[in-house]
Amino acid sequence: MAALAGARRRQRAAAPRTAFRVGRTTRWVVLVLTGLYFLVPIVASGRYAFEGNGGAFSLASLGLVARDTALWDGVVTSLEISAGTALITLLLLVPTSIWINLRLPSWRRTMENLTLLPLVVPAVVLVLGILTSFRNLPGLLLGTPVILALEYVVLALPYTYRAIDSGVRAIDLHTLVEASRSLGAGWVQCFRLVLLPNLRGSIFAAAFLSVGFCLGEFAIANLLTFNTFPTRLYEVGTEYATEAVTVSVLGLVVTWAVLLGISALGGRGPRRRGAAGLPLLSDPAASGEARAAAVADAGTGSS
Amino acid sequence: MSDGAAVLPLTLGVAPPRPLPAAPRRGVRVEVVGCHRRFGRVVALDGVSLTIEPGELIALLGPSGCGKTTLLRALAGLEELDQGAVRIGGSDISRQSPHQRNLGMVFQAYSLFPHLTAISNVAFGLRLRRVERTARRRRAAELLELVGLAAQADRFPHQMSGGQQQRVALARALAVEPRVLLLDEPLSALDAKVRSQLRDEIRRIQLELGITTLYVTHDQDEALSIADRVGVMNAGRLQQLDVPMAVYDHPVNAFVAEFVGSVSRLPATVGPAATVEVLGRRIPLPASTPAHPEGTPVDVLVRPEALRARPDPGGLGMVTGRSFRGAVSRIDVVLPGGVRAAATVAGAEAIALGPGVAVAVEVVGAPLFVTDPRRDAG
Amino acid sequence: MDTTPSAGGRALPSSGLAPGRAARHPGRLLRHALGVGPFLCYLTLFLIVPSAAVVTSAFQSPSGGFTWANIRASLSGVYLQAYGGSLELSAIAALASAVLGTIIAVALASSDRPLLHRLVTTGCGVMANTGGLPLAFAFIASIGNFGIVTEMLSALGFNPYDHGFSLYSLAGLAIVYCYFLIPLMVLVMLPAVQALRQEWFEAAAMLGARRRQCWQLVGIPVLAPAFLAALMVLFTDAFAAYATADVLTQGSIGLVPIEIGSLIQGNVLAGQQNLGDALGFGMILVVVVVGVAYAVLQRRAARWQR
Repeated sequence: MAALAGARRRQRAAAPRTAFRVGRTTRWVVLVLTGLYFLVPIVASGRYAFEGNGGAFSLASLGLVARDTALWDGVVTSLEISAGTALITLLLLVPTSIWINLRLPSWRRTMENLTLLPLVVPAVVLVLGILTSFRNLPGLLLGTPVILALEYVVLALPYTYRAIDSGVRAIDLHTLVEASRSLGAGWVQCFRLVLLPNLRGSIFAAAFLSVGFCLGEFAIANLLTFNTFPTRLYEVGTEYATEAVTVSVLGLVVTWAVLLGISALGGRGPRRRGAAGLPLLSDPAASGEARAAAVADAGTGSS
Repeated sequence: MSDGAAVLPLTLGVAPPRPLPAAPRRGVRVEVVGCHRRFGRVVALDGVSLTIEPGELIALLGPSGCGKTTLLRALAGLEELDQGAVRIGGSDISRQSPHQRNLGMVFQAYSLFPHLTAISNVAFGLRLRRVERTARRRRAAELLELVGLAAQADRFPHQMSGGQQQRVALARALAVEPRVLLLDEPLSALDAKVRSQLRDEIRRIQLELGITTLYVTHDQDEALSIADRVGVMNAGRLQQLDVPMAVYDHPVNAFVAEFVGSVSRLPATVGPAATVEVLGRRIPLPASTPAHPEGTPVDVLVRPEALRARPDPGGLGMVTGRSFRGAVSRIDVVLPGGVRAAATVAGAEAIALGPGVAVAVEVVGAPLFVTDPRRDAG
Repeated sequence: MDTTPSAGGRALPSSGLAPGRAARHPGRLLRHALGVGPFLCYLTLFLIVPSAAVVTSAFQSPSGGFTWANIRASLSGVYLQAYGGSLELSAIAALASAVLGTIIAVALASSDRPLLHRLVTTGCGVMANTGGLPLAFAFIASIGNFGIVTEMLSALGFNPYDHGFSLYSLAGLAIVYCYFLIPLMVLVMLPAVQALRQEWFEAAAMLGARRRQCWQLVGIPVLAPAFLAALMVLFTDAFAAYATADVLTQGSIGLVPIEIGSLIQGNVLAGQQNLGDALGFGMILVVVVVGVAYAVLQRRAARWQR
């Protein structure tokens, strides 16, 4: 009988019936229109950027871009900020999440709600607050892009925290810690040799989310008048439209490549074991799913 | 609208004296004629015809993929037929869509609307029929009482056990006074204990209401104990349709014999004058046997209660397993040539029949069936 | 959505008693709470303190005393119009994205091609993170004044700019916002849509529901909690967006973030130093009010999940 039931289940799983019928035509019309809406701007920018005189393909705009030293300075600054943000994010969140899950499980909900707070304060408003509250502090804080990294950590929190926390929850934390401690490992060794390798996937995801955020953030950098990749892009855009579109296309392509690359990278390694428990990382859409998770939590958290 | 809507208000106006939702009434006759259905290359229904008498409960029994669920869903209108017709109370409903048929259906599991409480689930069909709010609440409460869940009326599905959910599903299906009740393996997701309890209750309620019912299951105990008649299906065909005892005692073919209840398949040789020689004894052939010339090797199918095993140091069999089942025990034996057989013995006799004991096995009752030797022995 | 799955679930009266072991020993709890100290300090310093500064200075006069003047100024003239513009834009963009995203999720869920699923979820994951400037420029390149699509349509004799359309209008902005809001919506709704069980629709049909009624009475109510939650986040996302709006409107449309931005960048009239803070306070307030309204709605819509 058990075998029969098993066979049934397999059969069901092999050919899932959809919960509801949507006409095939309707479905394809919807999906094709969606595809068009999302592809047209990309394709159009590509043509716009690389179209020379008479409609021929031209890399002339690339030359303009290459000679724009301010742009490259901006890129370097943005990369530095990204590295700093990712580092602070990991140093702050990985121990916190492990601690919460190990010692303060009753705080999980509170933490989830706390990490949603940045959604309440728009970036523009945060700039107002930064200007008011850090006005009297030494120039170190407001005068250098360090402040951007420090604030980006906060703004990306709703997504980065979820990426890390879901990874921490998916591993059997208590058993791992107790086993390694009983084998004589100190806390540092336990963390470095046991926990970190198991959290590789979620650490990658969180790092990527930080980097992606930093490479795209415009409001704060612009209003605090720093020269980053997005702010320089803005200036270019006000002067040379074609060049700006070229840079945008390059920026999008690079960002997407990084996104897909990092999630593919995170997809390898020991975390595969827990793939079922880690939907966040089993898919290149990882970053999007972290956002979706934040949305879902915003749904349950505030009520 | 369906004629069910017209029937409904008759019982809604007056509060019944007992927690019985409607006075027992005669059910309708259901006829399924020449049904064919294929999914790609898989033939799910291969010319099935079946009549369910008014108020009768027929259990459709068969292995996975035999077409029993397809037949039920075709009756419900959830599956289309390539060929054939479904008639209820004499009128052809093959062309009607599910919402017009007024049939009650209970699914395997998780079919309750998750956003509605138990009572609102039960009242759902009445709401669609525009029954006024207090009337439908009253009727839904009666039905919950009928299935023994009056206290859980305001629970949401996720707050109820699997058994409770199925009770609510039954109440919901009955609330609209369907012409026919369709049950699609309603107990297969439940624990053994809850299962037998709920099975008896379904039967009680079905008898009380006198509603024509089709019950699909792959569990033979369930089918034999609940049904007026059992239909055994295999490979899209209805193999046999008869009262439980007849299906058990007089299966029409080897498939039915082996699927319903347990049998041992013993090698034998056809002897003279309608006899067959098995385990060194000559016994009369069962009446249903096709004619075989003398000397033909055949297999004889025997129920455990028709076999006897007793300790015998010179016996050809050896006990491989023993399971106590109250008054009788079941003894598994291996015979020369690797033939496996099962026999039931009285509890006291079983004590001497531990694993490894040499036994003599003989056929003491009538065999069920004689068939050609199975090629793929094993 | 932390409710126990109903699979074989026993009756579980909602009990509030499930604290961790630590909670029973106040001393240990305190020690354990220290582990969260760094995180809380960080959050306080870089989020709470600046936010509190905005709120307090919204009610401060240049001399430091309490005043309503900033608030009053922030609710008049162009600023009041900016609130109107921001609310209208966010509401339209969020609602349109929510509805379209749900439709796309339903269309996708009804297909059982794994490749299509993977393609769309990956694409959505990427697109949901594509905001800001590159997006604005991409749209300028396609349906801006001299965009490629605009010129193609003009060549066909239909210049959208002659028919009242403009990328640099509220409607244009809404179209751009949808670009990053729809994918987010799809990602949020897809699991919810996939969790709709076939049995619910069939059971409803058996009980007499037509197709439309199946959706109306079962599908939509079951999806409502996820939909509302996403709608709220889409709204606040759109409400707070700055970069895209700044590039596309160049000040032609009044939006609160743009007004705050130009106040920060120094276009301040004398005596209105704290006006920006008042606007910022207003933005926080709007988000909070939306959150509360949502919580009230959600309490009704998600009653069955607890």
